[in-house]
Amino acid sequence: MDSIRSATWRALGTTVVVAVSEPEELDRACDTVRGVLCEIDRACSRFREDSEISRLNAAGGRPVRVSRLFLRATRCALRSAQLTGGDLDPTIGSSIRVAGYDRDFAAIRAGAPVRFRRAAGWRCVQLDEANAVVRVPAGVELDFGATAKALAADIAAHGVGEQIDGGVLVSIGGDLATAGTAPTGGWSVRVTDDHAAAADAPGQTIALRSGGLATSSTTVRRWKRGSSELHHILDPATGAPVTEYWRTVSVAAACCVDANIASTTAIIRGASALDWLADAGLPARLVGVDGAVTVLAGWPQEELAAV
Amino acid sequence: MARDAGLARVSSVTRWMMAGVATVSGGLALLAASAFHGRALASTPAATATQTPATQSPASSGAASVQAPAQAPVVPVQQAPVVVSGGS
Repeated sequence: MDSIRSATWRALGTTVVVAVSEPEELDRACDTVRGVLCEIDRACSRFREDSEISRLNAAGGRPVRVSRLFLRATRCALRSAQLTGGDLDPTIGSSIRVAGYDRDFAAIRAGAPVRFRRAAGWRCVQLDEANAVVRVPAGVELDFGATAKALAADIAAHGVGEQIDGGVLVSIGGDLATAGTAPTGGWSVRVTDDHAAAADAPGQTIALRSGGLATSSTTVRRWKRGSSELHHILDPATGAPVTEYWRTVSVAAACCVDANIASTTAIIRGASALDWLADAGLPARLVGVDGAVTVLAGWPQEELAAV
Repeated sequence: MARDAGLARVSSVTRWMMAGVATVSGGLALLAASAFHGRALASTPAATATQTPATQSPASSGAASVQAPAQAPVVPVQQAPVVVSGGS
């Protein structure tokens, strides 16, 4: 019987959980994860003036030399845009700011109505890999919110997995990456609307043996502008929050980034996401705004997995 | 006659000098080019930067499609969840 040990703390404006199957490895695992989170924050936080993404967004169209990590995060964001036909778009930054999500979410207050601004389009991002230089046109603001936390989870889990015996699970805001040998029976995970909910919140418990798992939801990070209630998943084509068809989507994939790409895209695409997920063979659980649950591509049926 | 011959000699010397200068300049340019390799500047204008083509995967570390897991999630044997996955 594995004796799983875990630690929880706050970082990147959300909850971080690290679990290991070999209890004596927890401290070392946490140290590694903390280091990765600090680096990701310095590179990709929109809410730090000294971050690389803030410097790039303020560069007025000039090329900016960046770290290898930021280069990787940029590649990751552009890949997500390419794989989704632009449904995820890292140039959504000014749209998010205009919509009112311009500071750490806990500090957002109700405000006046807004006119939404569509994303500039990911193809305007120029990446000079050889010289580690990124350029965006003046006025374009990048936001890696759709991929950076998942990337951090993947990097952290694999970094820990190379250092310790046994297995590790890293959760950043409910987006999970695993590495090493999973505990017997897999990592037990409660899937629900809000990652901060209790482990017995309405939802489903599943076991994850490898790869990544991500959940996207419109039920969290909501705020008011005028008489409208907004949420944080925006349609790049309009800059407005997407019309809610699914309220929560969970997807398992080979890594956390791919799981997160799929779960967020499914929220944006609505009903058409079913065929896309099925064609890609991505096990998924989709909860409609009315609470009806759809599972596909090998995701365990609800009644069989209920605890 | 002597003046014409003198002018011809001066013209000939000038031509040889010009040819010599051109040869030496070319040689020095080749030497410099082989000794000091070029390097792009960080402030290189955007027109000369490499723009990631829309048809080429910009994620060298990622696959060209969203990758399915090696194994789908299963019904858990262990009862207590170690973590919650939800929106954030």
